[in-house]
Order: sequence, then structure tokens, then C-alpha cells
Amino acid sequence: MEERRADVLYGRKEPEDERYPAMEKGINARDIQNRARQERRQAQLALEQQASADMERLSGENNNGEGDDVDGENEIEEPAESSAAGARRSTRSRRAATTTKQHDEGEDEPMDDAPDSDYEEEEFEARDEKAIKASSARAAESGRKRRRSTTTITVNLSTLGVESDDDLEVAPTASSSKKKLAKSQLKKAKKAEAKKVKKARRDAGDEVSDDDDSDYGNDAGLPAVLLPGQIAFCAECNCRFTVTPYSRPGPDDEGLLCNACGKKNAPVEAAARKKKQVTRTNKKSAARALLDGDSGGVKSLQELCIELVAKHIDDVEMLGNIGTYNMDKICQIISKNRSLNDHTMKLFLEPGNRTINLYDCYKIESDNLRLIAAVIPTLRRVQLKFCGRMRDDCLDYYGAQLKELEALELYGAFNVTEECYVRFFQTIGKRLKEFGVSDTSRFQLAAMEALVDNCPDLEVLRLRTLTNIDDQCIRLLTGLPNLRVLEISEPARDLTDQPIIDILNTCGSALKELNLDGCTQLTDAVLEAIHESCGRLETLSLQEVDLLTNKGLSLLFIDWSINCGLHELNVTRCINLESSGLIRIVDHSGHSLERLSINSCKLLGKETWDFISQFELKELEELDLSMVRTVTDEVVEKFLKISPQLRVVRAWGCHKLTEAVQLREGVHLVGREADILS
Amino acid sequence: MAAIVDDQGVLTLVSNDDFQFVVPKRTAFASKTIRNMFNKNTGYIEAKENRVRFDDMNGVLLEKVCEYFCYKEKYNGSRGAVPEFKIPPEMALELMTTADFLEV
Repeated sequence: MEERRADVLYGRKEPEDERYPAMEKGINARDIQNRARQERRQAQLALEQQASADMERLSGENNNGEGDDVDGENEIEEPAESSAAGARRSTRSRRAATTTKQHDEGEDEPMDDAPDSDYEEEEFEARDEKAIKASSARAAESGRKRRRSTTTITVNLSTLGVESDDDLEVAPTASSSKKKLAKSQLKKAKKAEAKKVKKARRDAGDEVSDDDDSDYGNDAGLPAVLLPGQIAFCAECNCRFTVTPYSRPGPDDEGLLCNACGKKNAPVEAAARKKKQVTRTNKKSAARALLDGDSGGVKSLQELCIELVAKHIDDVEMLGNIGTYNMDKICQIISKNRSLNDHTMKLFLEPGNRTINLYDCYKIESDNLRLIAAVIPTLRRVQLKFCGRMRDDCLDYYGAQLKELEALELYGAFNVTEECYVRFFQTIGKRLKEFGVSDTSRFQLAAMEALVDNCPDLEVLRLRTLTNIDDQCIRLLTGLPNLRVLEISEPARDLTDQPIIDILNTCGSALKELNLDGCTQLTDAVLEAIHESCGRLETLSLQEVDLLTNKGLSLLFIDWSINCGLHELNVTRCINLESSGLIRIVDHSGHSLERLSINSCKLLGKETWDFISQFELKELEELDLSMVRTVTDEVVEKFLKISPQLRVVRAWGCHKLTEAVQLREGVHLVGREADILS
Repeated sequence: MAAIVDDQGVLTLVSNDDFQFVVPKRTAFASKTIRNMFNKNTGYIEAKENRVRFDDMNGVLLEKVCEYFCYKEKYNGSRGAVPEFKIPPEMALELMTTADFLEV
């Protein structure tokens, strides 16, 4: 039957071809045609297998003997003949059964049953070997178990595909049969086919179903084990290609695509990936800009130039007459980049200037710091930050050289000794109006005494993070009646109420700014003193003074008629602040507050926000609501409603704040989780 | 007295080496200084002639300034990514003082 059909198809008989496959004239067009036919045929087979599998499930019968049949057949033939011929014969014998069944469909698609010497040979060859291995086990097993053994075969085949010596021959078998499965699922209208098959099956009997079943096992198992290095056929264009780890799965995850077909889809995917990445970086940079208070959009030409100059600062020989604003900006930027050094620092020494601010002097030698006074003897204000290299002789030189010096701020000058400070105060005397010092353990009682004795006109005093400042030192400050600004922040030693109260009693009435950040031992008594004396106070910072109670804070602002309103209030981590306290604050200073920080005041709840919306904070520009867990979208919207000037809202750790919050144009919301985590 | 500024039409910017740049007024008004020159209430001669001469800018510099005007007009207020405005480093200092003067 088969033979006849082949003759019709090829127009000639090919007995030699079958008997001596080696003599076949290479791979040619006919070969490829055959392959296609083979695939189609296998597709049908697969359908039949499915159908028969269904039948089995339905009937659950007459399976027992079949496994033995096949095995027997194989066992007999295999040892008798050399592989190719044996396999071919087994093929034919199996076909005999198959073809009778397929006869029905033969009229529709005669090509389907066309014999394909190469592929069938290899396929069945492989299968025979496996069958032998598995046969003994299978023989013993009954219906359901037989199915499991079929799976074993599949695995064996796959390993064979990798291991066998003539793997080039075996591999195509594996891949083609794998592909047949794909085709089968894609191509045919399954139900219609299945019906036909069922009919055919009834005619053909048990043998057919058995054959089909083993086929089914092979086909189903293969796609999962298609390994790199094997030859496969593209699920899209059917061309032959070598499987690599990068081969893409075909449409509907059936089969693999060849390199060319895989690439077709690649640009789309790459574009999608790129787009995703871009949006992520956009979001990141947007969050960073928000953090920097950058309004976004186009920067001014001036800013662009300043940044560019700062970037190339090492190549600049002279800044020239660019104006103090530009110069200061450049200095800030290069300080931030930590590139202010002995060389670049000289660019900012403009003779005749009144002010110098160097924001990061850690790379500048003491001698070069001296140079500042030598080049610009007219300085009135000197602010040097991180000037850890400054030595005694430098400060002595400043005292002697800068005849007009009024304000000196030395932050981080830990090498300067106490005696030097004393000498400096003695030299400069009454001229000194502003003094600031930080991060040193050498500024102690003697220096403080010298300061108070020699500089009675001092108006601004900033003592930051000093290690050896105690109550005794602080009490000395009562000798400075002109103080306008007093900062005693984060002292290493605990300061108690009394010295502070003494100071407030003597010079509290003139104070405009009071900063007691981190003086953790202070209590409500200080607030009382502030209430009594500080009529002109505009800025009050009580960060981390956590012994203050809600009652004390409330009392400070109740009937505080001598003060007409604070401009800035920082009660960060005054953790006892409650709704009533905040309402007193807003009631008293709401009309004038420009900056308010209630960071970490965790007792503030819903009722606070409801109440606060009755007030108007018409001057408020900056608001810090970080770590206040009850802050929601609604709360921020309320604040925006009552404060028309609001520009910056900080909301770190307010986890209830979402992207949905309605922000006004020009308002920066910093620290929202949705912006940061993405 | 409110500023009355007509931003229709074009104006000419002239450098000290006589390069002329014809720019739409709306674009050039990115600079507050130029905008103020064209305030009719102050009656500067520039407003009548539609022509501004900058004696301390050469052609190269003024070209860069005009380029920035266009850059700003194009990207101001745009939501997407704004490309970098390229400035040759050797020009930066000069351009900075110019930008300071023009308030751009």
C-alpha cells in the first residue's frame, strides 16, 4: 500500500534507496519535502493518539496485552538484523496497521502517508533500542503502569539523543517528532479528526491503539528535554537550526524558534525593556530632584554656567569679576563635590571683599587658611567649615591681621587650643559681634570666660556639639546682655534648666532666635522662662528635648501676649506633644509661622487635623510632618487648603500618604514612599 | 504703572562685532532684561527700533544666548526628559556673567 503510494508521488520506484540508505544522494529538495510530509503525517498520528488516549480513558479496557505485542515484535526483529533494515521493517509492519486505519483520510490528503525513509528509519531505530531496554519492565506491567513505562522510554530516547555516537542522526528524530506535536496541536480541527480516528480505531483494533500510545509517549515527552546543541525545526518557518540556550519558544510556547524568527520579535521586546528601564530612571531622577528641591524643567542659563564652571574648576585660572552671588554658588557646588582644595580655594580670594565663606576646608592647609587674611585684610565676616587643619598660628594671625573682623565662625577647628581662643578674644575685644564654634573639645571654661570678658557686645553666639561645655560655662553667658541669637545645640554633657533660665532672665527679652536642640535634660521650667521673658522671639528650636510635656508646651503658648508670633518652630521629636498643644501653638503663632516641624510627634491624631483646619496658616512655607503616622492624603490637603504659601511638605515615613494626594502647582512633597519606592 | 509689553513680531539682537540675530520677541523675552527694555511705559529706544545692541557681547556669545532662548522656549514646562544644553567650557565664565546681566 505504502509502496504504491510512494511510486505515485515520486514518479519512480526506489528500492535501492531503501536498502542502501547510505547511497542516497545527499540532502536535496526531495528530502525536505519528505520531511514536511513526515511532519504532517506525524501530526495526524498525534491526533489519533490523543483520540485513542481518550478512548482508553473512557473504556479503560483491552490495554493489557498490547505492550507485550510491541515489545515482542521489537525483540524479535532487533537482534536479527542490522539496525537500519530492522528498523525499517518494523516500521513497515507497524505501518501496516496504521495505514489501514488512515485509509479513510487518505483521499483528503494522500501525502500524509507518504513513506519517509530517513526519518522513519532513525526514529524507529531509536525507539527499538529503547523498547528493548524497557521491555522487560513493561511486559510485567498492566494497563496504567504501562503508560508510566512509556514515559521511561521517552527519557531514554532523549538521553540517547545526546549520548549516542551518531547523534546527528538521532537528534533530528527527536526534534522532528517534537515538532510534530506542535504542528498537530496547531493545525487540525481536532474534534472532527478525533471522530474519524475513533472510527478508524474501531476497525483497526488493538494493535493500532498500542502503536499510537507509544508514539504519544515519545511525542509528549520530547519538548521538555530539547537540549542546546540538538538540531530542531523552527516552529514558525520550519527551517532546520541548532538549538542554543538562547532559542526562543515559539508562539503559544510550542516548539522553538530559529535564530531568524526569534530575532523578529526581539526588537519589540528590547524596546519594551528599554522603555521600562527609562521610566524607572526617570522616576528615580524625579525623586532625586524632589529631594534637592529642584523644580524641574529648564534650568536658568546662569545655573547651567555655574555648574559647568564648578565642574571644570581645576582648569580655571581666575574667576574674574563674576559677582559675589555667582562666586558663592560655585563655592557651594565645589564644596559639595569636595573639590575645594589649596588650589581652587585661591580662586575665591578676591581682594576687597567683606565676606568669605568656605564650606569645606578639609583639604586646605593651615598656611593657606592664613593666606585668606593676608590677601583680604578687609574681611568682616569669615565662615570656615570643616577647617580641621587650622592651627593656633592661623587664628592668631586672623586676630592680628583682620582689623575689621566682626563675625567669625569656625566649624570643626579641633586643633586650635584653648589658649589660642583666649588670646584671640583678648586681641579682638569689643569688635566681635558674632562668634560660632563647633565640634571641638578644647573650647572650655577658660575660653568662655575670655569670650564673655572681652566681647561684651556679642550678639550672635553659636555653640554646636561642644564636648566640654557644662552648666558652669553656660551660666557665664549671663554676662552677654546684647545677645540676639543663642544656639547651644547638642552638647555632649547634660545641661540643666537653671543656667538656661538665668540666661533667659537676663537677655531673654532681646533674643530673636533660641536654639536648644538636643539639650535633653531640659524641662518645662525652661518653657516657663521663655514664656516670661522672650517677647521678641521669632525662631525657637527644641529638637529632641523630649522631657517637655504637652502641658508645658501648651502653657508656653497660652496667653503669650508679649510675643506676637513665632516665625519658625521646630519641635521635632518632642514626643509628648499632643493635639491640644499643637492647637495652642497654631492658635498663638498660626498667623506668622513660616516654618513648622512636628517631625515624630506621634501622639498627634485625627482630631488634631480636624481641628487645625479651622485655622489659617497664611505665612506657612515649609512643613515637616515626617514620622507622624496619622498623616493621610486628606491631612496634607487640609494643610494646603489653610496655608496658601506652602511650598515644601516633608513627609518621610508617612506610610498612609499615597500618590493620589492632590497637590497644588509649585508644592514639593518630599519623602513620600510612593516616590521613593518604585 | 503696569508694564505694557507687546510680544508679537520679532526683534534684532546685535553683537559688538555686528552679527545680527533676528529672534521672535516672545522667545527673546526669556530674558527679563530684554523684556524690560520693551516695556512701552519706559520708552527705551530699543522698543521703537526693535533692535538691541550689546556692546559687551561678541557674535559667538550672543549666538549661544539666542540658542538658549530657543532651548528654553522649546523645553520649558515640558514633562519629558529635557536634553542637556551644551556649553563649551571655555565660554562658561563669560556666559555666566552675560546670563547674570540678562537675567536668564
